[in-house]
Amino acid sequence: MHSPLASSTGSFKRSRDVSDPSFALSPPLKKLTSDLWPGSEVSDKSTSITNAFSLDKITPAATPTKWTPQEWSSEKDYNSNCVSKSPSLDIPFSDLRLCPSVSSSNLPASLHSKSTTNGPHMIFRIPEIVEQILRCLESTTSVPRETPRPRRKPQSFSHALLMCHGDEKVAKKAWQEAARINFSNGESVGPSLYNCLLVNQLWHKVALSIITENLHFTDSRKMRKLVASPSNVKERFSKASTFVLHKLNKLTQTELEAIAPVVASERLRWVELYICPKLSPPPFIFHHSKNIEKLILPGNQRVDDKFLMNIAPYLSKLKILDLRACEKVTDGGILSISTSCPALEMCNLGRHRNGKAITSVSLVALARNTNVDTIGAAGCHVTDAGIWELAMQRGSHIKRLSLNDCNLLTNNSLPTLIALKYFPQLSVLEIRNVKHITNLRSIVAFIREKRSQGIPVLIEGGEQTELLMREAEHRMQQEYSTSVLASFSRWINEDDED
Amino acid sequence: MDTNIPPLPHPKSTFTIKIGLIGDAQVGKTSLMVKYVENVFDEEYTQTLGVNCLSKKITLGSADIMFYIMDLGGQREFINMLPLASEGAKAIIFLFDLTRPETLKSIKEWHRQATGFNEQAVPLLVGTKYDLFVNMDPELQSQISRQSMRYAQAMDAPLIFCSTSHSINVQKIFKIIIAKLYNLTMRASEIKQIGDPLLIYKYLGGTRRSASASSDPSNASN
Repeated sequence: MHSPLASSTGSFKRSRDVSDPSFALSPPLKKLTSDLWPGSEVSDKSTSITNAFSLDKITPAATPTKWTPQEWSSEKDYNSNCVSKSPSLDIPFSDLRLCPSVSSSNLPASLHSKSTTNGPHMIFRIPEIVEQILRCLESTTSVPRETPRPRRKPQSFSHALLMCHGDEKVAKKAWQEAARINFSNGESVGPSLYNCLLVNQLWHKVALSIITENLHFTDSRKMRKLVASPSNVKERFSKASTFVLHKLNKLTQTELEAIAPVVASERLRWVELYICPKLSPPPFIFHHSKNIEKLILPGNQRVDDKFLMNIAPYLSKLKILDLRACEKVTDGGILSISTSCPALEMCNLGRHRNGKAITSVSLVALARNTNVDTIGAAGCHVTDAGIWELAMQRGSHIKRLSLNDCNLLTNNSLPTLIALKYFPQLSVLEIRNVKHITNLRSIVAFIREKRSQGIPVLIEGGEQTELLMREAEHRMQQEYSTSVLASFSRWINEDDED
Repeated sequence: MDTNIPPLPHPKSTFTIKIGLIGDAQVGKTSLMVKYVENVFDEEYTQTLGVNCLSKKITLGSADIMFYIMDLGGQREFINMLPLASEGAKAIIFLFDLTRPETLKSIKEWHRQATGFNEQAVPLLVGTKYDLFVNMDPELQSQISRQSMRYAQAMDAPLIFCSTSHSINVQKIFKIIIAKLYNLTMRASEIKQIGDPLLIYKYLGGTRRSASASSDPSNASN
């Protein structure tokens, strides 16, 4: 009989593994496999060999498992192999099963009924395919992150009204929404991939390697568990490409240091400690991971200039740096970052306290040395001169600027620079509570020009500024109407060309 | 400081103005349209099947005007296409043949039907083939002129006699449309002398404008 013969091949062994759901916990039993490959079937089918073969010509080529040469020794062998194997690839996907529900060994089964009950479908035994399937699952689990907002919340009801162009109903809704504190967490779907760990050894292996590619934690207990896992399991971890801690305030620095060796690798691209004020990312990670592109540390009280100077030399590939509310960071730290990170594209230094620590020096350093197109300097002490220098050095590349609460700025910088077309690519500009920017004509004209080209522009000005913008827009519209009517008037009173 | 900032030019708008041409067969609707848009006059008659349309762009300093002219075939069989020519039109030009008084009589029905689809459009009453009309019996000329003035009064429509072949008052028609739509003052003097190519527009066609609110250029499409 051929079936027992197949047990000598790797492919067949794999099929045995999968058919036994308890395998992940216990080694496979070396029992005879006649219940899976009933001996009777081959002899039964020998009469209908030609028929079955023509039904499924593709089987030999499409079967990824390798047959040992001796199995091909006779034509009879080949054919009977096809007969016994082909059904498992032939059944429709809706009938796919991971585990055999009832053994059909005793039934004089037809080709079809045998195939549906005869162990898991072929595709669940092929590591490459299992990996593809699990990756689809993985793509549904999301990294915890702060909910992005399309627009900032209105500051008052009248502001909401202004934003909605006087539509009271919409404004009321927006304002109510803004007044309510939103506790929504970025996490959406449960980690469904974890269940795949328990299916069998193959699945465990594949799932573990996928799970450990992206390490993100919103719960410090889960992270502790990972740190505590035995070293032989740790060896099977993939090298992580993302490492995200989301609001872990119970985790200690020592525990974080302990995970550093697991995390650090050349594959690491994204390191994030989102509002973990007491944790300082271990320099070990940076010293052993030279490909980090994204470093997100908002609300960190331990990150300071010394830390930045320590890690900056290892961040040559850094593109995104988020240091919002890292109040200990000053111009000095940013200076070392900007000289070491030429690829930096986004840098956010916004803060509510200690704004004086970041001045135009940072802005100019970033403009001169990096590839920056997005700068957040909300609440920092940047000046008109700093903005001018930024415009001169990088104006044509700047896409987003956040300068909320930068009270040193006046009409002499942004409005003038925009009128002079120094920021042609600007698409988001935040200038909330910048008291001295009052001349908004050029900004309004800029918005109009962009809109007429179909390019959306967002200017967040806060209530006062938006009111001024609306006034400027109205005035400009009137002026334009007047000039259009004047040119129409001129035309109708011209001499006819008749 | 403000004065040092060079103002960004306002993005130029295009004001698209749809105009419907309506009237009996062979009064010269297509000829007028082709003459205005392409400055060509063809003696040969070509029947319009259904609807013709041409557009002409007038480029002005701070905005452009795009006349989008729809010309409806005069045969009765095309009456079901009247909505195509009249709906959404800012102005509807009713044309009659000055040499065939019965075409003026038809205007009453054309006007009734077109107004049913579009009450807001500025109506204009245009008599065509003035070059032939001027050689007709003076008594007949006087009759037709007076009758058309009565029609213009009743329709509250500016009255224009034109000649497409001799280029008389063709441009004026479209300038009057703009003047009426945007409530602008046009200084061209009126022609009221019977026998001359009449041009009466100052106190006609002004009442509908408030309803259409078209004097606000912000309605423009870019």
